[in-house]
Amino acid sequence: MSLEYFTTIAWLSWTIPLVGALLTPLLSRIGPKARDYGAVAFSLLAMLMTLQLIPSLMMEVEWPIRSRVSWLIIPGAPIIGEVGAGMLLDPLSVVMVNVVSVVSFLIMLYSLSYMHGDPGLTRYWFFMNFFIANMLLLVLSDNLILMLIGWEGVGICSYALIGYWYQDSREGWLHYWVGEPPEAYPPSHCGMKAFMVTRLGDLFMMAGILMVAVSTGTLDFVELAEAGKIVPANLQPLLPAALILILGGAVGKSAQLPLMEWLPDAMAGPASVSALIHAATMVKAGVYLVARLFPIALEWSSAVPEAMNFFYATMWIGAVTAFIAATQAMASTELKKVLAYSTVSQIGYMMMSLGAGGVAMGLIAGYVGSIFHLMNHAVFKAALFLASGSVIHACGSRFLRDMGGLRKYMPITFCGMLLATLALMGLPPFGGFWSKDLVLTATLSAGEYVVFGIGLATAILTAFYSMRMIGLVFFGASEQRGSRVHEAPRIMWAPYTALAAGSLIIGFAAPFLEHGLEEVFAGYITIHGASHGAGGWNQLVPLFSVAAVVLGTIPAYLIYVKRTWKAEEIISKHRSLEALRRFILRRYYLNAVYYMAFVKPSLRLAETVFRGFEQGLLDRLNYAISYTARKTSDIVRRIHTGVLGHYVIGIMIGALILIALLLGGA
Amino acid sequence: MMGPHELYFTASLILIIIGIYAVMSKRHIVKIVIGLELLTLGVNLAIATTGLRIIDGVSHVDALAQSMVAISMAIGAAIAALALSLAINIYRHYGTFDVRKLRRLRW
Amino acid sequence: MIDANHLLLQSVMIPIISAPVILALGRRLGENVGWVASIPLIYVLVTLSASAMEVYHGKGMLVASYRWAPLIGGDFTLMMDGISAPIALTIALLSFLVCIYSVGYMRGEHGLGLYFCLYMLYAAGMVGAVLAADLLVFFIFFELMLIPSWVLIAIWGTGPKERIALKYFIFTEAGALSMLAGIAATYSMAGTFRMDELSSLLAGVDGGIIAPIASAMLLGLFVKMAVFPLHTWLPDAHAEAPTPISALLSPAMIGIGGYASIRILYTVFPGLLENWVAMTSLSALSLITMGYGGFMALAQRDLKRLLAYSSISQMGYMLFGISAISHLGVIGAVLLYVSHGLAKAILFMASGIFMKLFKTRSIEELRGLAGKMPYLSVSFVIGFLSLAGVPPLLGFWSELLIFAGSIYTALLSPMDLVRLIITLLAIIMAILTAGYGLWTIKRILYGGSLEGSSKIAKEPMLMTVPMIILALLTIILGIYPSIITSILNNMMI
Repeated sequence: MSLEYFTTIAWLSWTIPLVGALLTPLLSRIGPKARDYGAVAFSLLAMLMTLQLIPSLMMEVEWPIRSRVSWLIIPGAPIIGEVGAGMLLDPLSVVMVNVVSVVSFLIMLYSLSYMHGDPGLTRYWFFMNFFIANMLLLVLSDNLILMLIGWEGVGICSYALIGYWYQDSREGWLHYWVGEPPEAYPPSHCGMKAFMVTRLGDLFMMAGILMVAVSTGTLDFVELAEAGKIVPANLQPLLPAALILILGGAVGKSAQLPLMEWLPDAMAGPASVSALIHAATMVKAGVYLVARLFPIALEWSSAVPEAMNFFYATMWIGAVTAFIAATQAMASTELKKVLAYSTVSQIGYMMMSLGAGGVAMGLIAGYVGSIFHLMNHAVFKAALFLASGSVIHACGSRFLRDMGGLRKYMPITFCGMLLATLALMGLPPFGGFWSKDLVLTATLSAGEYVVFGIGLATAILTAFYSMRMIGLVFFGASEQRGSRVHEAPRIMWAPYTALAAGSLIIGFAAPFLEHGLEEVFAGYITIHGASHGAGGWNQLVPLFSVAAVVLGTIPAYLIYVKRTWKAEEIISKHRSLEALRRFILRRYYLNAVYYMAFVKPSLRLAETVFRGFEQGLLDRLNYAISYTARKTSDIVRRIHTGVLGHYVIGIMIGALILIALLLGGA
Repeated sequence: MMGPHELYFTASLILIIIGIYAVMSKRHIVKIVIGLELLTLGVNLAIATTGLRIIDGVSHVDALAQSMVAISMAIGAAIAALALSLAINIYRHYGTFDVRKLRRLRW
Repeated sequence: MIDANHLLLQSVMIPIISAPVILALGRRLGENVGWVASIPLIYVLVTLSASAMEVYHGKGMLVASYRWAPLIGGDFTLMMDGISAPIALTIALLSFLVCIYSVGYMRGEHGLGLYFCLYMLYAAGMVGAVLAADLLVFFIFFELMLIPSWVLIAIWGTGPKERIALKYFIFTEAGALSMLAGIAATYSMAGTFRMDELSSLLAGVDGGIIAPIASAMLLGLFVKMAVFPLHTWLPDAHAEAPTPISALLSPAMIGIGGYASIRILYTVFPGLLENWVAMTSLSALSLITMGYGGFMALAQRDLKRLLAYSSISQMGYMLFGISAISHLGVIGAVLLYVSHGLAKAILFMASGIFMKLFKTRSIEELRGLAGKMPYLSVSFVIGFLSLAGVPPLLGFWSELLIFAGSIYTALLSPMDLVRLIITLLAIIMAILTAGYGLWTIKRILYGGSLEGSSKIAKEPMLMTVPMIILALLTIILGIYPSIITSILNNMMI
């Protein structure tokens, strides 16, 4: 297994789904079965490709493994004069690529049944495969520009797939609209919103990338770490600013505050899309970017200490987002929205972990914790979303109030969803427990006690909303629902039960996995003073986290599962709780503020300037000029009286003037 | 006392001024034509006067100037004839000799 | 290198010669004269491509010089180098495709012989303006562009067409006269019109004299480019012109103002580039133009007017790239010309199809068209995404290079903080393009369908094929922009 073998695999793994996407319209001419199975086959091929990269982790290779072709040539231009396209293989990208491709394949399988019969399937398969190609490209690319292309590519797919049911028909109100009035949105609006918010983040990112490129003279991930240290002194203040700007892109794509509002509304897309794009893969791109920048920023901080601000920002944004999103999940009235907020919250954990790792000057636990949690989260969240698709389809509604008592009707789904939820809550022995512990350990080792506290509090909330979800969906009074409610077909429950089982298996293998990951990453990221997690805390943290889980679960269990207490009664007893719930349900009024502060004023400003300035002033100015010209000529042409005598007088006067000039000159 | 040149030039200037005055201020079109003729007369006189040379007390005349005047007088006659025929035409169209009524070329 | 095969002369003269022929044929052939008209345009495309290949292989400019008027300034010189090659090719391609589109669009209109005759003259004017090597030839073709387009708007336009055509004419003519003043002043100082010789001849002249002259010339060009606040002619002209002409006016013609600005600033008066105040105020002006155009586009209810304001905004981008002083910025500006040309042509063609099918330009009256017209919708979305700068479309590269160029200039030592801030603001302003683009897509293509649209059996393929071709080109060039950028090393800078 030579190095070229691995790089060839890398190239193939993202070009194969791209070819698949392009072939989709052709396949659809042959027939719907050819198209559907063909599309899934391409994602299967991609998965097989990436799986072959795993052995590289176990071998003794010299990281990173690279392959590069020259791509864009602009002769005579500095820095971006030659942009290459290349594959960068290192433990981070190998792990990430496999997470993406395995989850993608399972979701494609699920889509075969979930999306069956929908008229726009050609478009669906095209964008799904195109998405997989772009996501793999994003992870495998070796320079910032190529990554940016993959980054925007997944953005386009997200836009197209969120707005998949763009007809916005009112009949889909219970299925694919999002939100409750006054914040209810149709799918086409949600797609646009997602694109706009992430695009804003991307523009910040582009600015940051350009600043980095020009200051350091390179775009290549491998060269950036060293290049940043030799930046001339007058440009050094720019580096931290550029890092923060790039972080802006990550914040947008990963739906962290303050750019988080698009993700809850992205639930307008099909459940498979939500699983793939908005839980398992695309939203993790921001975490991936931060992980890529992790060693780079650390290297830079030796020359430019302010570069550490990058890590502080990441950590705090992650922590605050995790907490706030968890509160929103507690109050949400729609099933997919609970999962969406949960995703935002868990990504907050990942960001928090990376940030803490950086703050602690390269704490490996932070890095590994984040990546491990990314892996776990992809598995169990995808399972949850896919299962939710079955549930919503069975109940015919996206609202939690229309669900309940499904335990009897959908036992397999119940099992799968319960397993995945336990993983989400962070209960041992599931994988989620181990990775969450690493995250919390990292924050503690970094000395950030406040962040640790926030993380712990969020764990309590996570347990609460998870149990709440299970209780509302599967327990409770099960009215006779009729034959509509039945278990999902096998091709639908197989993927998500496989994923749920996967998270259990990962959980059992976790201690070994953790150790292995730490070794691989520690060997790869040569960070000054990297440590493997300070020993003393290691025992306390699991205790804390399990305690948190129990603390959160018990009230939820009593309210939603056993139904001994009634949520409504508790709330109506305390007025403050009612107000709090309303506040949370209105998304902390963040969404409303964004519309009020940005959307409406922009439109109003445009309107006003248009009417007042453009039409009022400038147009009037133009007509003023022509009016003046006309009036002047009106005055001057009165010289033409038509009377002969006047003309002769004119001649005489002119002649006299000429004579005077001639005589005067002479 | 003015010499012959000055005398003749003064006379022609007076004629020219009278002619211009007539063209400028008269309303009747025939009077304007008369004014034009006076103008022509004055100019012809001036040209003829330029041909006058006095050498040693004897008056000589430049034949070129006089022939020019002759041609000019012939042309003047033609102009007068044409102008008068135009005047008759105007009377036929407008029913008046008043020049102030012919305003179709005004703004 | 000398143009041995007279390729450049052919590409300019063939359309001019064929114009009266087409006028005569118009009486005989009626509507199909458009097909005849497309033949010279294909030929122009071929000759220009051949010239571009020669420039690329020969690694130099292609010059063609003909004795003409020795008294005032010598020869009629045409030239193609790395900057004018992509621009000329874009113009030729757009002229050809829009001609095909015109055949379908103008079906049923009167006087088509005259229409296509004027169209040929217009195309010839645009190509000639880009290929001109000296200022006098440039000016002649500049005016040649102006007059046929004026007549085209006045006869076949919509709304108060004569008045709007006159407004367009007067504005642009005033600008051209300002430019003429500058050209005349330059001639009187240097004794030649040739652009490549002027910079060395004028090297010793005091900057205080150069500045007003260059400003006069740039003023004229900025009117053409519709830079704020000289842009007021553009929304009316582009909205009320017949749609094929809008599809040429907006993508191809106003960019020529940008091209000429590049020539003036970089070739003729390179000393101006050192003037920090001038360059930075140009950057600021382009920032204002970008933002103003974008905001005004948000407020529009009329689709063609929205596209017109979008063009104003994009010309702001082009000017931003030009004022970046660096190589990268100029390359980005040229790429923007191409990407904007392709994208805006697609969008205007789409609006024309809407007008033909639904008799309306109002965005509120159009809805839910994506299902009915798949090819048109996909091209439409690609057009707007390219404008917004989304990879892997060509617009991404043009925006990236423009901003890279400006940041590069800002970060040279000493660091130019003002320019850096202006650039950051400009990058953020790019969100407006995505905003009005996506919003328009949503309003027109998505949502429930229109009542009348069920009667439409299928999309008019004759008018849609040019759009598809342009969309494909946008994607191909976006994936591999080296096709254009590799030729850009042969520049006259």
